[in-house]
Amino acid sequence: MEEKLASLFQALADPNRLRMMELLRKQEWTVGMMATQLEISQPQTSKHLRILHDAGLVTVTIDANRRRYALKSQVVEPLDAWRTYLARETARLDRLENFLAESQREENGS
Amino acid sequence: MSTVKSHVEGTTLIMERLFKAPRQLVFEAFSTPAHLEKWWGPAGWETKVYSFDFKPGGIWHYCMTCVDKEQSDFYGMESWGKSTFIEIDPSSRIVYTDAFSDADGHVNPDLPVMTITNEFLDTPEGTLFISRSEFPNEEALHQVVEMGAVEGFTSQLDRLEAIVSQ
Repeated sequence: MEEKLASLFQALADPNRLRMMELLRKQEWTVGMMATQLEISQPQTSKHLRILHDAGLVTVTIDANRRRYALKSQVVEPLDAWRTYLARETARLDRLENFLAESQREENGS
Repeated sequence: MSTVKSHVEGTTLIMERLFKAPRQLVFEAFSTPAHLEKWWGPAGWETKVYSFDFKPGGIWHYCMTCVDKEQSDFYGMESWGKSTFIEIDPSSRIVYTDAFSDADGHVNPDLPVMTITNEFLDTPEGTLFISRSEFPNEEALHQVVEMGAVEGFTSQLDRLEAIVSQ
């Protein structure tokens, strides 16, 4: 149980995989389409999609020789909570960055 | 534009960010109360520092208030924090515990205490800041994520866990 939750956080705490989740929200994707969209290699794309699949976040349909990935509809809300949390933490660091930039301008006397 | 890299290792959330500023200045932003009041806290929140004793065992007690009317759920809300410094290595490392408290400095026993390790590293591009937030267990990580989440979000991760366990 705990391990499952850990793999979930792990799955979501990667920028590429978060972008994939965002894209998967709108439609189904094949590895090739996703790789083109994200401008990363197909093996990398496959690896990330496999991690999302192993964490139980996406479904895969094998259609002829293609794998089509889709988001499980029930995961959208919890996903938003995680994204909100990360966005808030990122916003903190944005404030720090602005503060540092202002401090340096003051030091330079401009 | 800077980007934040983040990932989770077990029950530790790790965030990395590169700042185009001298290491000393970045360190001072975390070790000077007047500086902290200028940037600490989420967007739309103001911070006031009530005590700040920057030495191992020293206490940092502060209050964050939401001043952004757009954040209707949170507007006017106060959030008190109480931190205890554990380890300080000037200009390079600060370790402290971060707890939720009240105005009198009593720690809320129902909410998790996190251990934060902030590191400041010189790189040719600027100061690399690495922050590790260690939660006591996965339940706590979960609880803090929920608190920072959208209105109406209750135990969604329990639901999520149930879904992915199917």
